[in-house]
Amino acid sequence: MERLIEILEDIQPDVDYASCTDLIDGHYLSSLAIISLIAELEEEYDITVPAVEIVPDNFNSAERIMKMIERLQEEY
Amino acid sequence: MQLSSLLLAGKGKSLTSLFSLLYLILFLPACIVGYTLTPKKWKKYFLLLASYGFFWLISGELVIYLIISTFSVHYFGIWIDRLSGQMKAQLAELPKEQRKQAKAGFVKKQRGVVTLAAVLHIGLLLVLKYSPFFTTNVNTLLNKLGLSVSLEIPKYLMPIGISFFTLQAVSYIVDVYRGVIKADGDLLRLALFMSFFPQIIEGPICRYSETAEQLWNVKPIEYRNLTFGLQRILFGMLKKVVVADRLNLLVSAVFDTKNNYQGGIIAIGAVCYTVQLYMDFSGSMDAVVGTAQIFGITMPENFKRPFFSKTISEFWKRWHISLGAWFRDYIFYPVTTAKKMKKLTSSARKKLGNHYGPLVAGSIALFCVWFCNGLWHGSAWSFIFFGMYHFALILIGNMLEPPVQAVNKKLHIDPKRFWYRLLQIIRTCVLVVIGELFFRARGLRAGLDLFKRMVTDFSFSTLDNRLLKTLHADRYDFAIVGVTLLIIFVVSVLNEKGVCIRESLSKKHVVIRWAVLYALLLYIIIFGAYGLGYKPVDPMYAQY
Amino acid sequence: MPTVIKNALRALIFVLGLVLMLFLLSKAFSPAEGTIADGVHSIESNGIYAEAENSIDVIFLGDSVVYSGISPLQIWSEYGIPTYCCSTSAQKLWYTEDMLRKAFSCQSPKLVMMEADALFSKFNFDDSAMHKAEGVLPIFKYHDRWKQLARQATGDKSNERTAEDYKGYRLNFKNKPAANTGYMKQKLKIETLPSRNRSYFKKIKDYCEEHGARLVLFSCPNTKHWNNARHKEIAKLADEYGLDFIDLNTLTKDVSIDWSRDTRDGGDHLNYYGAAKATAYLGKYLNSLGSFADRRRDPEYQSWNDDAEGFLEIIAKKTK
Repeated sequence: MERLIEILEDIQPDVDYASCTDLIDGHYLSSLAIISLIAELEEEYDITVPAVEIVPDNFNSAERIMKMIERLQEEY
Repeated sequence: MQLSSLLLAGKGKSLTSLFSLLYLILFLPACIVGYTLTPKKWKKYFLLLASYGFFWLISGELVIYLIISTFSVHYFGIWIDRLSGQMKAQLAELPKEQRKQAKAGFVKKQRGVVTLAAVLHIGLLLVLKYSPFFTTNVNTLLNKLGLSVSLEIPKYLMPIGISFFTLQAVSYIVDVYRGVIKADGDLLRLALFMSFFPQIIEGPICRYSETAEQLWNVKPIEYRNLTFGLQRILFGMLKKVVVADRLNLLVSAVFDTKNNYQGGIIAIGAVCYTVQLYMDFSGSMDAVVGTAQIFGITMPENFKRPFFSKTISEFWKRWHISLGAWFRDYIFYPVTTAKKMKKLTSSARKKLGNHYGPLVAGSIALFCVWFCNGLWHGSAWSFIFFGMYHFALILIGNMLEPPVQAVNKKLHIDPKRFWYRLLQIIRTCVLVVIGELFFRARGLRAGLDLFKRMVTDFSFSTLDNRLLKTLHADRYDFAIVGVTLLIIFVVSVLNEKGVCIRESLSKKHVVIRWAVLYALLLYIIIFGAYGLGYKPVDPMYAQY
Repeated sequence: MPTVIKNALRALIFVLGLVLMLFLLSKAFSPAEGTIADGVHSIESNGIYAEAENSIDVIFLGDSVVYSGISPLQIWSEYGIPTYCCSTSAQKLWYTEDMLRKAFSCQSPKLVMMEADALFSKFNFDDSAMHKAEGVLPIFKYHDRWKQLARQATGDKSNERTAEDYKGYRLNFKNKPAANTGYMKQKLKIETLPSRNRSYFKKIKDYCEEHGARLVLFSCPNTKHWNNARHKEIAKLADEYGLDFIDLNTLTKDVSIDWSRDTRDGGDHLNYYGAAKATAYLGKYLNSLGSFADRRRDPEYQSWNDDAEGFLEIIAKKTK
């Protein structure tokens, strides 16, 4: 989780990722930030984020992002 | 736009829009009565029948394209689903280490099927819609090369709405592949999703997960839904008949005649066209959503007060929403998340930083989106230009973001201040109007010519009563358009604040309720631009 | 009472209320009949009401090609036959019928010349429904008079239209050459008269017969809407009812239209130069029938001489 927040802060600073729950709906993360984020996540966690996963629900909070990562890691 | 209207099958027929009398006083009432009388179990089949009847009335025997498309997505969906089933069964038997490889094999196969389906559907659209454009350009090229061969320009009858139902078909196939939905085993349910009559002409482009179940589990008509739906249609009529149709003669005088108007007049024409397009298209959407509501179905909204947008990219999230969402989900994200693109993003971010890094891959994807968007709107260079224009604007917006933020910080400008936002909104509207000028012009050359005159000769000195006469407009026309826009503006602001006008109206005393409805009806009847001397707008998005 | 019936009743009352209001509004919006202001579409279309009673011998019916292509004052100055163009743009056949009735309410022409272009102008369900509604509740026809009412209320005289009196002809000197000059040789289309149009035509024919007027079909030169197939179809129709049919499109020897000079909009409408040629032929035709007296010396027609003089002066000035 800490690593994830580091990545997020690296991409888009000045957001309180620990508590924010509307990263997408509140326009904190732009679509460009999402593109960076996905590239980083794939490298960091050895997963593939398919286009279908790119929905606000999966990216609205750090917690949600972590859940998605875990789910994708379990998949084979 | 005229270029692509060459081959409209529905021309000369009555049922060309949801505001035609044939629809409003015959088709829709007949549907409501028939639907009510049909036993509950059969209601969905009644809707399907009505939808095909509707399509038949507008497109005649071209209904065959819709039938073929429906069969095709049905079987492709089942095929993809079956592959998924096989994959699951096999993977369960394999040890964990081998799963990844086995899965890759299946995914490859599935991708092949999805690609085949997409190529077939989009290919059909390309052939029907773009082959005249394509062969014309090839001929010009051959001529330029000094070859005197010329290909025969093919002519196809294009069914109305094919650009919409093709996108629905592709989204269904891809969603099945992505596992968002399961393939529909019931051909008729899928057929209803593809053909539901209010949306077949001009969208919105629905996803299977949004409407298919709703349409299949139809409920009896409720009084409340009926009145709310009819009121919504009436509101759409206000936009279309009072504003859009009233501006038609003026717009067509500026864009379709060779009167060399002054730059200021062209600007007025461009603004009027933008207003007209918005009123016509969003009015039609009101009719679509209203009709669906009568049958208890919630359609996705296609407009969210676009002219309050602060940037061009925000504008496209509020204007023709279902099309933008389609391009986002089926072009933008797939392109940016392709393996090579991700690598590009990672390496570019290291060199160019957080903002410009992802912009490289993002811009490539955006280019694809806007090229397709332009082409989707019509087969002519002017539409490709229109797409590229918006691509350039969004790209420039993205590039300028960091410097603008820096400047604001230095000058202590708070971008959340009212006047700052107002300036942003005005700037966005001006850019949109310029885009629509090219969109409406008859061809790219005409558009560039109009634009040049607008910029170099910007003056209103020739604007007098005589000129207005050639524009078929007088001060009363402008007054009534202004008043109507004001009404619509107030409604928009109330909607923005979350007030549902129909809801609050329904709680009022019957006298007030009826007075409002009577006022609206009489307003449309008296101030509507119909009858001798007026020419209604062709539904603009129907030819796509 | 079950809610369904209650709601249905409520809806019925609502609709009745609406109809009542529309009825009252119709009274307020309809102009006095038989006045120039009755011409909702254009003042010119009702100009015939301004003519002295029973003074017109021939009327021309049809859409915009008629008021662009036929100049009654030219016929007057050459042969002394009083004629009038009863035409409006994009005229549908029922409107043609209305115009015919209007004309006969104050005139008793001996000859009705009907232009054939309007015969092909299709009308769909919406058109007929609207036309019926206009008959019952005239507000649908006269709704646009709110502008006039607003003008009266505010005393605004800025836009009052004064019809320049060329007896229904609209003078135009614009020029945009036509490209499609081989239009009568194209062999692609089959044109058939829609059955609704046919029945309207029959009504018009019967009306003329009842009022003792002869009906003649004719067609103005037009590269955009006319073709050989239409010619054949109308010739057949004329044959069927034993009517004369003059197709100026085929009479290229007598009416030599120069499509680079004689049209104002690329072959759809004639300008003054084209109209002069078409009118010259039709004037000769009317005269050759031998049933019209030359009224140029008739004291009751002196205003016609004055109008013609004014018209010719303007022409002379413009064509200099």
